[in-house]
Amino acid sequence: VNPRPPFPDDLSPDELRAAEAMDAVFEGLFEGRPPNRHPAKEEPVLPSASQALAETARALHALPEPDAKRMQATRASLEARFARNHASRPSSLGDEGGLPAWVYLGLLLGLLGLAWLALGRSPAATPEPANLLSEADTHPVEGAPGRKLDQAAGPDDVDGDGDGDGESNGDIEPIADADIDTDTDTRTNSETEPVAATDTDASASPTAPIASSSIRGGAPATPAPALPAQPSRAIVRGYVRDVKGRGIPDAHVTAWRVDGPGFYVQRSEADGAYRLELGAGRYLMQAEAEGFAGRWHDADGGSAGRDGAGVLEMNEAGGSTVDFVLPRNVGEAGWDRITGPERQREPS
Amino acid sequence: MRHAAEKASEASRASDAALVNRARRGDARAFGLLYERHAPAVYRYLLLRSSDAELAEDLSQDVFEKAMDALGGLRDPASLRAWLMRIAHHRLVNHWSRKERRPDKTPLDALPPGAEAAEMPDHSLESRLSTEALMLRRLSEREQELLALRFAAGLPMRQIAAQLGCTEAAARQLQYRALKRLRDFANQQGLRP
Repeated sequence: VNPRPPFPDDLSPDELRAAEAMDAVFEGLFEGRPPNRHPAKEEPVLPSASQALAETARALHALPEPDAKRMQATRASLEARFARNHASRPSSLGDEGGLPAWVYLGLLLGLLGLAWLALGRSPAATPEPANLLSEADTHPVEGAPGRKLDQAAGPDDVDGDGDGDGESNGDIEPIADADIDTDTDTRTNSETEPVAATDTDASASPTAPIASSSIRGGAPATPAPALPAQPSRAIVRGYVRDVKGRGIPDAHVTAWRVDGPGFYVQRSEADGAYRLELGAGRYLMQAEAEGFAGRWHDADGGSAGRDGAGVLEMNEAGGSTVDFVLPRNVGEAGWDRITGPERQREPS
Repeated sequence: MRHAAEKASEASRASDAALVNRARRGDARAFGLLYERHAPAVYRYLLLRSSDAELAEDLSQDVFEKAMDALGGLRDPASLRAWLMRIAHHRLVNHWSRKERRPDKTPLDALPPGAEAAEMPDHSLESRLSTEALMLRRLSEREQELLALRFAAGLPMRQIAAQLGCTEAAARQLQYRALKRLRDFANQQGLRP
C-alpha cells in the first residue's frame, strides 16, 4: 500500500466523473467516432467545459501522418537488413544486448571439453590433491624419514621428528608445498602398486598408497574390506596395542619405503589388528594413534623411537608380523611441557 | 495474382503476436508488416514529443532497427506497440541527452502574449501541427508522456498506466488535468476562443 497517492487528488467529484466519461469518449477518437459522443450512447455526455477538453484531445490526435513514400523506402530497407541479419545470425537468443548463439555454443563446448579432460584422469589415478605428496616428499630415507612424519606426530612431539622424544634429529628436511605433484606421485605409485583404476577412495584399498593426512582428515573409521590376496604382494600384519596390551583402534600404520618412493597406510581395526599389502622392498614401519605417542618398528621386532627404527625387508609373496606398543601421550599439559626449558626459567 | 492478394490480406489481419513469432523465425516480411502497422503511431508519438518532423522520422527508423535486434526479448508480443513506445521514449531521451538540448520548457507565463505562436517553426510539416501539439512542451514531462501515448500512439489507458507506474484511475486524472492545463494555456495566449 502506497501511503501517498501517485498524484495529488485535487479533482472534484464532478471533475472525476468528467474524467471517466472523457476517457470513454477518447476511445472513440481511435475508432473514428466524434469525440463528444459516448461510444455506447448517441447523445453527448460531456458538459461544455469537458467538450472543450475533448476538442483539445482531438487536436492532439490530429497529427500529420508520416510520408508514405519514405515509409515504404524505410520498410524495404528494414526488411533487407532483417533478412541479412537473420541469415548471418541463424539463432538469436533474443535478449537485448545478448551474445550471438555461437558464443554460448562455444562456451558450452569448452566446458564439455574441460569436463572430459577432468574425467579422463581416473579418480584412482588422481587422488585428492591435498592428500598428495611428490616422490621426493614421500621418499623415506633410512633413519631420516621426511617431514611428512612430523605431521603425524603426536602432540608431544615438540621437536617435530615424530618420535615424541622432544629431541630434534637435525636431518629432517621440510616438505615444500610447491613440490606437490599429483602426476608424479600417482604414476610412481602405480608402478609399484597397480591399484585398480576404479578405486576412487584410496583409504578403501588396504594397499593403496595414500598420504597420512588423508587418514587424519577423516577417512572411514572402519577398515576397508581387504582385496583378494595377490601372490605378488608381501603382507605385513600385526597389532597395535597400548602398554597394557589392549588393542588400539584406528591407529595409523605406515610403511615408509626406503628403497623407493611412496608409502602405505592402513588403519587398525577395533582390536588393533591391521594388515598391509606391500610391494617387495625395504620399509620403515610406523604406528600412530590419537592419544598415543608414535612408535617405529625396531630391528629387534619391538617398538622404538624414531632413531631406533629398523628396516623391514619384504620379499614378493612374503609375509611378516609387526606389532606395535604405543605408550600414552602425555599431552600438552604433560610433564615434559611443565618441566620444559621455558617453564624452568620461570621464577618459582 | 488473386492468391497473392489473399495472402497479403491474411497477413494484414494477422495479430501482432503472430507476426512477431513469424519475425522471430526470420520472416522479414512479417517484420515489414509490423513496421507498416506501427510506424505511423511511433512517428506521431515522436513528432508530438519533439515537434520535429525530421527527428521523428529518423528516430522512428532507429526504433524499428532497435526492435529488430531486440525482438527476441519481447515478453508479450501482444503488447508490441507499448514496447515500441518504450523504445521510442528511450531513443528520444538519449537523443536529447546527447545533444544536451531539448525543447524549451520556459514557463508560458514568462512569455509575452503571442510569443508562443511566434516561436512556432515554419517548416512545412511542423506548421501543420496543432497549437495544442506545439504547446505540449509546456506541460510536465509526465503529462507530456501521457498525452503523447494516449492521443498520438493510441495506447489504451491500462498500458499507459503500466508505463507510468500508476493506477489506471490515476492516469485518467492526470490526463484530465493535463488536458485542462493545455486548454488553459491556449486560452491565456488567446490562441483559442
